[in-house]
Amino acid sequence: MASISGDYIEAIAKREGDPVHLRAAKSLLRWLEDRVRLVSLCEFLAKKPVPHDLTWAYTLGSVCLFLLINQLCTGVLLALYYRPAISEAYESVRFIEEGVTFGWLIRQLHAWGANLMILALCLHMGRVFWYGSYKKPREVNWLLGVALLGVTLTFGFTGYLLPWDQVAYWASKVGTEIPGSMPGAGPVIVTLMRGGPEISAATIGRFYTLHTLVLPAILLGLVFLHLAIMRFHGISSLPGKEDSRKVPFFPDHVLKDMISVYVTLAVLYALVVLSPWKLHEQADPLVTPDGVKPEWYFLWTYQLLKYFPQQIGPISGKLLGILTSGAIFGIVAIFPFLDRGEGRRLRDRRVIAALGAFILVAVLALTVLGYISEREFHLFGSVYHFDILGFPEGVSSH
Amino acid sequence: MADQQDDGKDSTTGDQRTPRRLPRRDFLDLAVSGTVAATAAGIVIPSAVFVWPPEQAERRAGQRVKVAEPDEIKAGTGKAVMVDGKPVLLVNTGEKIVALKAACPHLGCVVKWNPSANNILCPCHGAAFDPRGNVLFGPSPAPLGSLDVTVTSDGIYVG
Repeated sequence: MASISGDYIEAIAKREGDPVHLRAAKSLLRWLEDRVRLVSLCEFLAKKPVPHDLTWAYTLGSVCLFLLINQLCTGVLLALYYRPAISEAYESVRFIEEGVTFGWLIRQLHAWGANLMILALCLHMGRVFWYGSYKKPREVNWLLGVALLGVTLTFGFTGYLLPWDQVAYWASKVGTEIPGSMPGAGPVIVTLMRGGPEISAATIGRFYTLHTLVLPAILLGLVFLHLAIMRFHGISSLPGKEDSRKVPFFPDHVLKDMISVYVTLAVLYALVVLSPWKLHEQADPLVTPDGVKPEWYFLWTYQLLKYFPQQIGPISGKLLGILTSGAIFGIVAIFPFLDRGEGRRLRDRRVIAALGAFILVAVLALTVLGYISEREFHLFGSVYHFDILGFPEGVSSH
Repeated sequence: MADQQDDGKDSTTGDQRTPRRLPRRDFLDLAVSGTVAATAAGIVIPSAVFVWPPEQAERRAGQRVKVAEPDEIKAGTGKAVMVDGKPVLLVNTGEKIVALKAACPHLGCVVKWNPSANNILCPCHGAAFDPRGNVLFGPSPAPLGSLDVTVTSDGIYVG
């Protein structure tokens, strides 16, 4: 492999016969190189050695990064028209949808992008877990990744309220009510989140500030650290192939990343066109719509709360449910510290693999149960009813 | 003049009753640390206090709010209204009008009057209450709170 500051510096050297525009470009690059080492930095990043046999699953990180850029760009565009006041928020979103050229596109890209980003993050973490890539020396990067997931979920939570329609309002009402069951700190947390005892104009101001200022700053800082540490350690090889031949990141792996990004873009646009997010009726604090539920990425914890009785001894069932959800998140965070063995293959770490599989199946099952609970489904001439716990409670004919 | 060691002890006489003086370097360390700490506190504390929402002006005790016209709520019906930013359910049981806090104690959804069963239902998780707000069944951990209602010739008042 060529040394750093070798090939690219050579490439910007002036040559006889260079056309004027090429000489100008090379002069600019040399000027930047002499002052901020820009070309050397680009070469350093491009020459990152990566194992030659990485699977497509290794492109999920780039997919996450692409979706993050999508969220940042579409978010800035939406902020040009959105008004964070309860008397104007809904109408400003409707104006974006109906009055601004391509407004519907930007809003749908933002709404679907958020969902795809959370899905991609979960898949990316799953890949890291599957290959044991969180093992020494990458434990800190795993922790950063868990923090990034938490920040992204908070993005989803705060952004969900902003359209101020019925679904947004009541999902946020229920979501901000849940921490209230924690003894002592619960009411304080609820008041801080809402800016008062109820969801109001103060809430939309707080959520907007978090969503557009505080969380982006935190997210970008964490992403920078995550990528820097990843570059420092290099990409982990496939389990059992630690000695595999290395190739430069650019262009070998970048091509794979680009393909995955284009597939993601295609999926995103397909969703935008075929299944656009609907703006429901404007929020009415006096009318709770039937069957209000949080978004799919919070369904598992919402459904989990239902299985706890009101009181278990002196402890509130809701509190125990919250603690259980937190414990699941906590266990995921400390996977590298539970999985202390050397081996990275799944068969060398059966216990942790079983634990991970159990958590995955439990979360998926709770998500499905949360989706089907209190709903009815029409199948083959019959109507299947599911109760609050997601269990079938009867079948009727049409 | 006795020599002074850096630690402030009187070295010539070794007098143990002489109070130990704070060396200049330690004093400066303390002064700088204290100044930085005070500056940080001067930034963090006002910021934290700023984040806590100010108290909304409470209605004076005994001050009533008109929520409906005298004959607006027919017997066997209910109506949700906002009082001081919080939902309140007015129910005409046929004998009298009651006012209940309409936020379900479970997760805060606004309950509705259910005329067919003469009870109050939460649309979120199916908690049910009687017309006085007592829990009939469901996940609510507590009954609905009640509010004072006054019916006069010019309106229905709560509070």
